[in-house]
Amino acid sequence: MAANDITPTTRDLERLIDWMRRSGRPQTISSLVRRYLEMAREERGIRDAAK
Amino acid sequence: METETQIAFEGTKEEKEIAARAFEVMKRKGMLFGANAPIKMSADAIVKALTKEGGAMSGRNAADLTPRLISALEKNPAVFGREAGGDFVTTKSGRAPHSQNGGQNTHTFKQRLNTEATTLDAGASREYVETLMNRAAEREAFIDTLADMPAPPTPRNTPHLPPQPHKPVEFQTLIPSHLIPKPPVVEEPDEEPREEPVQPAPQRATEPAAPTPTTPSVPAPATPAAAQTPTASAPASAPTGTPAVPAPTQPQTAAPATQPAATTGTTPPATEAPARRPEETAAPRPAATTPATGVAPAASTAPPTVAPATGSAQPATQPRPQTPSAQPQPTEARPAAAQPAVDTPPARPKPAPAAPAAPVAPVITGPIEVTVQTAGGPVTIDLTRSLDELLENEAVVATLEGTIGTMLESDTRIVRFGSEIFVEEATERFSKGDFRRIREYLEEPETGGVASDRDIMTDVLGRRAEHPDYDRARFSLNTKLLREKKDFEFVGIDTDRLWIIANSSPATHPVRKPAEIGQDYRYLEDPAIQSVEDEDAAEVPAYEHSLTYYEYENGVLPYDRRFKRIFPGAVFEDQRASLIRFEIPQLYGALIAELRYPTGNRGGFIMGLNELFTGHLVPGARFQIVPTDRGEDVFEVRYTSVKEREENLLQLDERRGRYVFRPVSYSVETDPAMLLTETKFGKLHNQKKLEEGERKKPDLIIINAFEAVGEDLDGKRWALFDDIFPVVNIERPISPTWLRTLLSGAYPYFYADETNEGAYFYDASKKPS
Repeated sequence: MAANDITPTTRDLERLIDWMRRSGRPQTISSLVRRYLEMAREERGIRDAAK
Repeated sequence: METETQIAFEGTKEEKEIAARAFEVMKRKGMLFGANAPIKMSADAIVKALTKEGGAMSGRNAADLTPRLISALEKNPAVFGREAGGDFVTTKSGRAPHSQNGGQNTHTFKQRLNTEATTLDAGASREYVETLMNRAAEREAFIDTLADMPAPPTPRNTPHLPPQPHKPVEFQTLIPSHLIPKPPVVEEPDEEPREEPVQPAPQRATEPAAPTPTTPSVPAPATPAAAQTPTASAPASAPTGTPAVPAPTQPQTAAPATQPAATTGTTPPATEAPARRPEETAAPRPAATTPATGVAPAASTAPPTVAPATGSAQPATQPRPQTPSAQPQPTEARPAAAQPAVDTPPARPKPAPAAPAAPVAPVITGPIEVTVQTAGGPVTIDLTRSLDELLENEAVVATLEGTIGTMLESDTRIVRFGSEIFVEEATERFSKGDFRRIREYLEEPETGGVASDRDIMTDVLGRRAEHPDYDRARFSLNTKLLREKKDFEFVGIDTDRLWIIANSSPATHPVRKPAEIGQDYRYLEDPAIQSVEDEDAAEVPAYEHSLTYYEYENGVLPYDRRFKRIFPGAVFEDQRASLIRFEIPQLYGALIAELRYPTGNRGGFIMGLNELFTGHLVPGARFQIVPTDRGEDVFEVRYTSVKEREENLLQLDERRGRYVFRPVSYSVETDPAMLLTETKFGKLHNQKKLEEGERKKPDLIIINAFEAVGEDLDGKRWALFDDIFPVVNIERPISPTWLRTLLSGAYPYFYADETNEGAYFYDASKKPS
């Protein structure tokens, strides 16, 4: 896998599951993808200004 | 130090004392908890804490104390709650917790003040604490090193520090990086010459990329000997672990050649190096095997490379051995690489750069491009774009949805219901009493035998939709009801989750058994016919239909391609049925129908429309089925009312088992080709209903239709397709597409009339006897 490849790994899955658990409500696959991209951005120091 | 509690405990004097001691132990464990946050400990853990050396009851026998402790705590239920697992729970306020939200931590300070904080598990927490302690110790050692520097001319025997491994746990943001305490900045001595920016940038040998700015600035160990440049002056037994402070007073040529620049006194402080961006400080350092001899030609020193600013995710690079033939790269960022080492000032040697990287947030100045391996090849996206923009890339989203979905499918911790996904352990549990009350609710006449999950939540479980825990509870209810297959059956769709008592149905059943109807409609699932039907269905803009006699008699409609286009379909693969609400504006009424999904050798169909068909329509009536905005399972049946008229239409005399024509009044628009009038289909009068064995053979049904509506031409029967179609649909459902297939080569005795489009022949002489 290339260094800049963001294909989800098992570690990412664990983080998504942890996020889902902490959210306290069921999620859809779309919201999980959104969260995954959000995590990828945060990992690289990118944050939305609106947040 | 002993603390004294003000809580009045119950029990004997000894029990009171034990309870008070236990409470102190538990309170100590939760000293950082909120006043009402539950503090949980097992009896063994409490006893261990009490009897350990220095504990409040040290010296007492643990085995003896445990039952007394349990007894004492159980006598104080107001203070100590007990969980199913046997653990005792209390709070700092001294009241047994009575959590209403199942231990959820929403609306806590953590949630309100720091929404990104992540719960630390025990292992990660321990690791984090150890990391901080280690770093503090390393900083102290380094400060000691600074203090001792001028004195000894020989290298200090500082402990060898192994290379710090890359710790992925740092990346998991157990605590957001900006909340991690930053190490103190060690001031540089003032006497350091500032006008010497030509010195090489501080290098740390083989130090992995620092994941956070908190990486202590401890001198890194030496590089492996294999990566070092062999020189004549280098001792053969040069230690791989280089002392942190080399001999500053010795001639530089005598210094071990294997000493990394980071550990030599010639290395200027980081503040003297050209200003580097934060990304560079976090990036891995290149090979640090620059000899400190000072006589080595500059060309032989590998210039330090600055890692690209790809953030902390950049993997650490391995040290590169020096190549004497390497050309110097006179880049502006590292002019020291070309500077002869002899120019280095013989100033007091300094250890590794003292000033750590400034822990400021990285500044994103350009695109951060990453790739996603989609089905169509790798797709590059720029993460600096907004989330909404990223989510517009359908290929990337589809790939990520597929990958994450597949990973979740195989994860047993995950439970799904429709489009929703959640963690099994976080779902709510319901008692047998709850299920009993749900069943009784469904049996009430007011419900009509069907209720949505929202109805059950409100009417049976008393949950309000505004409650923050509502979604979780509703999801839990659906998943738990789904497991009670003997008692409950899901008959909804993803957006309207309806439940009935298993194997019941609020819809009216057809004249024939549903299983027989399903077999009659099995042609709908025939791949050969489906492929043709797809093309036909694409031509029809909406679900317009002319009622056949079979549909009229049984109150059914086919679940064909056209209806599949306007209905979302089953949520689960093994789902038997979905309930559909049909509203009829002309009648100011509505009815519940049941869509039976295709299975094995049975086709899908909608049943329960008898009342509408027999009460208000006639065979041949035209109507539309229109989706509504009131739900994906709510449709309107629209037909055009016309002036009432009376005609002799085909009906079944059930007593005689024969078809007859009777006068029927109707006021609905009809399809003239489909209306079974006596004037057009008079030959059907008194015709006997086909036996079950006969009606299963399509060719017999078609022959029967040719006999009824065909004309005799040279011993052959000739008929128009539009005349055959309504007749064959008296006995069993046959779609226009399938009928054309049957008439065009499926049987040798049916064939098209080449001279008349839409006309067919039946040649009985070609039929095998």
